[in-house]
Parts: sequence; C-alpha cells; structure tokens
Amino acid sequence: MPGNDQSKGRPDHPGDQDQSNVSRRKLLGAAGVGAAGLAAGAFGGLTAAHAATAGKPAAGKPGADEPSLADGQAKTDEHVVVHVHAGADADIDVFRGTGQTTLHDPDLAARLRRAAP
Amino acid sequence: MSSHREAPEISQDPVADSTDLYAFVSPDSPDTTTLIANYLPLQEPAGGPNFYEFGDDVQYDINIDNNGDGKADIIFRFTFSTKVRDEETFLYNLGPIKSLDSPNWNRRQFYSVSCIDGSSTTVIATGLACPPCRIGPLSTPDYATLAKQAVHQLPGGLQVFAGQRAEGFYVDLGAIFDLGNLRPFEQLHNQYGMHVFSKSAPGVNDTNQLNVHSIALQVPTSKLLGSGSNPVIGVWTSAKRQKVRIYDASDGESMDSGPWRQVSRLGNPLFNEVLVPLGKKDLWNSLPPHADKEFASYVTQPGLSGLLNDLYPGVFPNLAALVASGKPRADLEAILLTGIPSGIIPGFQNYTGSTLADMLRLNTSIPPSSSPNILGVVGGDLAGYPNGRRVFDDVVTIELRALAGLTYPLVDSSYTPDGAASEVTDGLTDKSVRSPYLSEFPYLGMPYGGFYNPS
Repeated sequence: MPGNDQSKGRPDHPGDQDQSNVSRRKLLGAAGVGAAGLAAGAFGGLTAAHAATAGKPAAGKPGADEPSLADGQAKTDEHVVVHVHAGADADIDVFRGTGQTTLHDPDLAARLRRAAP
Repeated sequence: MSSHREAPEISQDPVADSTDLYAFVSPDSPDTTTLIANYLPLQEPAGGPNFYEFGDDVQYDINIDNNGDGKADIIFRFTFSTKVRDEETFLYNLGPIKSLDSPNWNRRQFYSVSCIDGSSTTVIATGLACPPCRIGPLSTPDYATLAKQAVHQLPGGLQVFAGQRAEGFYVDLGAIFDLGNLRPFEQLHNQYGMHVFSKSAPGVNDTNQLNVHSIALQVPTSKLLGSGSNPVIGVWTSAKRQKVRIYDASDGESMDSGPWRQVSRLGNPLFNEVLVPLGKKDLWNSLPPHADKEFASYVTQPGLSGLLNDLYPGVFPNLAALVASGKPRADLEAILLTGIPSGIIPGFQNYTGSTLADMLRLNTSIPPSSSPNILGVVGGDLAGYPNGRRVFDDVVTIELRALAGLTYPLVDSSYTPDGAASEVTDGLTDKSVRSPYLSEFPYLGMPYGGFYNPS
C-alpha cells in the first residue's frame, strides 16, 4: 500500500495517556480486510453494493471474514473508527479505545471515499 | 450566569457543562482547602423519571497550578459509573430510599477519584457512592442523612462528595439577559425609548429552587502547594469527552472512541460568559489556561464596560471617558489573569506571575474570615473573591463593579470611579438563596426536592 504513515496522536495534557502507538499494520489487520474492513468498522454497516464499489467482498460486521492477522496481536473485540478528512490532504484518523493515529495515505483515503455511502 | 450554558456547543451538553467553581480555605478546618466544581446547570428538581446524574462518559478534573505557569501540576480526576438494579422498570426508585445501599434505589451512581501528580497517577478511591437526587418526602424521606452518608473520608486526610446540591450561585438572569437590565436601576436604563420602567425594583434570583451537581473535595492545603514558599494556587475545572461518538453503535447505545479532549473549562466566574465573544467561547472551553494570552484583549478592553455606559446614559461618565481613552484595564488583567501583586492592596496578594491564565487564585495563607463580606476583597474581606471564591460570594456584583471601573484606581490612582460603580448590583445577596449554605463540608445547601419545588 503506498503512502506515508504518520502517527500524530499525542497527549495535550499531563493527565492524558498517549495510547496512539497503534501501528498501521495492526490497524489494518484488526479491521480484517484492509480498506473495506476499515470502512465497515468505521461506518458500522457497509452494504454489499458499497463494498462492491470498493472492489472488495462485503463484510457482514467488522472482522467477519477476517484473514489471519498480520502480527497476531491486533485485537478484534474493540471498535475501530476511521475518519477521512475532507479536502485533498487525504489524512485518515483512526481511533481505537482512547488511542488515535493519523495516516497519510491518499490511495487508502480514495478507496474509503468510494466505499462510503 | 457564572458559566451555565455559556457557550453554544457546551450548552447542548449539560453533563459536561461546568457551571461554578469554588476554592477557599475551609472555615471549619483551616489547614485544608475546599475545592468545588459544579456541573449540570439549572436542574428542575422534579425532572424525573430519569433524574440528574454525572456523565459516565465524561472525565471531570479539578486542576491545580502551584507554580504560576497556567499548567496543571496536580489533577484530581473523577470518573463515574452508573448501575441499574432492574432494567425492566422505568422507575428511579421502587420505594423509599433510606440508605445509599437501599434495594429500593434502582439507578445508582458510583465514582472513582484519582490524583495525577506530574507523570504519576494514584487511584485514591473507587466505588464511592453518590447520593440519590432529592425527590420528595416518600422517596427520599431523610435526605440530610443520605447526603451525609455520601461524604467519604479518603486516605491522606481528604474528604469528598459528589452529587446533587442546591444552586448556590444567585443572579437575576431574567433581567440581565433582557438587554442588561438591572432591576434596582432599571429606571435609569435607556429602555430603548420604550419607557417600561419608572422606578427601581428588587432583584429576582432566577436560580432559586434549582439544583446542580457538585464535585466537592477537601484537601490538606500542604498537599496542594509547590515546593517553594508560595502560598498561592491557581485552580480551574475542566471536563473531557472522547473525540468520537457513534450513536446506536449496538443495542441502541452510543459508543465513544479516541483520546480525551476538553470540552468545558472554568476558572473565574463569568470569564467565558461575559468577556469572551460568542464565536470563540467553545474554542476557549477547549484550551488550557496557559493559552489565555490569546483572549487577553477581551479582558483589558471588555465590551461590557462600554455597554454599561450605553445602557445607562449619563450614569457612568468617568467609565465612558476611560473606555474612550483606550487605556487597557490592567486592573481586570490582574484580577482575572495574573493575580494581584503585593503592594497594591495592603496585606494581600494572589499573584502567580506574568503568565496570563484564567484561574481562580487562592492565597491559602489568608485565614477564613470570622465575619465574611459577600463582596470579598472589594468589601474589605481578603478571604473572599477574587481570593479564591466562597460559596456565598456575590461574584455578580463584584464583577459588575469591577467592570464599571471601581477597581481601576488600583492601577491608576488618578482615576475617580463613578459613584454608581460602587452601587451597581443586580439586587441580590446570599440571603436570596432559599436553601441555606452549610457551615460544614460540602458547604452548598441541601438540594431542592421535586415534591416541593417549584412552589
């Protein structure tokens, strides 16, 4: 997958825990099937039609047809929320638990936009 | 209001909306400092069946700065958890609630207290019970006893209470929000040419018979101070939510995700309410005090001072000249953003340094007053606002008079305040609050019960 991974999550307060050290590989693995899986996790109900637009099989629920995880450590029992920024910068915020990481991946952003209803 | 519904976004989120903050040397335990942060404004006491409670999805912080940089050195964090005994009923209680473990009480709330000191976090206590809301003589027949049971003694000499209290902040909202009317002076208002009022009238306390939710903490003062000999602390409260919420994620319940981000803040009463402009209020709520330099011009050139002269023509001529001169209000900057340096008011200082930060500043070395004056320092009582804030202080009148120019001679002895500057008020006092303040922790009065209020 092209693009530059840039994790930007950081605490802004002495009391904040920085739990943003989630690698992009873990996130993709946790979501199951790359872009389509991320979209399903993000939007909670990707339809077959939308998934077809994205060129991937529909996932009934996040991680439903999950392949083996890339690193074997990513959790599948937590929601993962993805926010693709409006505009051309293609930044993607990925949230899990109290963590956040920001990816810069124009290709993935484009696929997610196509997958969105 | 002090900070009730003061910004557009937070007005839609009452459980995270900080309304008032108090910090004072405890009158009955002068080696300790009491900190009270109120949330959930304007509670109508009969508002069931889902009575008021803290947000399980909100982090509530009371922040202490003890070195003057506008950053928290100590954070007391409160997080809440609600437990329901029987989800098959719609009722809050199924009989009288006579104790905090009453099986009749269906929807209870518990909380944890943590202390974050530098990089270390200490969980002080967990599973602390809140009291129920005060409903009426059948549901909560002995509320005073219930409330006392909810005062918890913690390790290290702390005591804590979190739950419903009577609103102790008094203000004539109905008049003030009607284009700056102050009933005692309404005949002097320009009335926009309509001639509605011909004589003065007493103020009306619009927060009477309304409740709030308080987080009250009493701490040995020595635990709050920095390593030096400076007795002054800066205090503010803040509330945080996670960045993302998805509604109906599963089973009709919402799901939160992502880092905690601040959505509400409060230091000095009325700061965000009347000084920060509408378009920046929610931004201000999201920022820490050490970022307040960005808002300093709203303090040194307050729009309300100019408005007073427009609304009450001829009443504030000296203030009008001061506003027209464009001179910055260094007195207000000191009171609200830096603290008052020594040498200005005999025997008093609550200066924290040059960092501009809206914090409630308390000089903990000043003992409680044996005969308090609700006008605090302006009234010659150095133990009151703006030296911290006690539950009964008349912060509306104090700030109105300061904005009217009463405190400007502190920085310019050649300035003579208008006579009206020492008289202006919304016409209320601590006696305007029906539920009396308490002489002991948690100091705010018993909440109003739904059966009896309104009456």
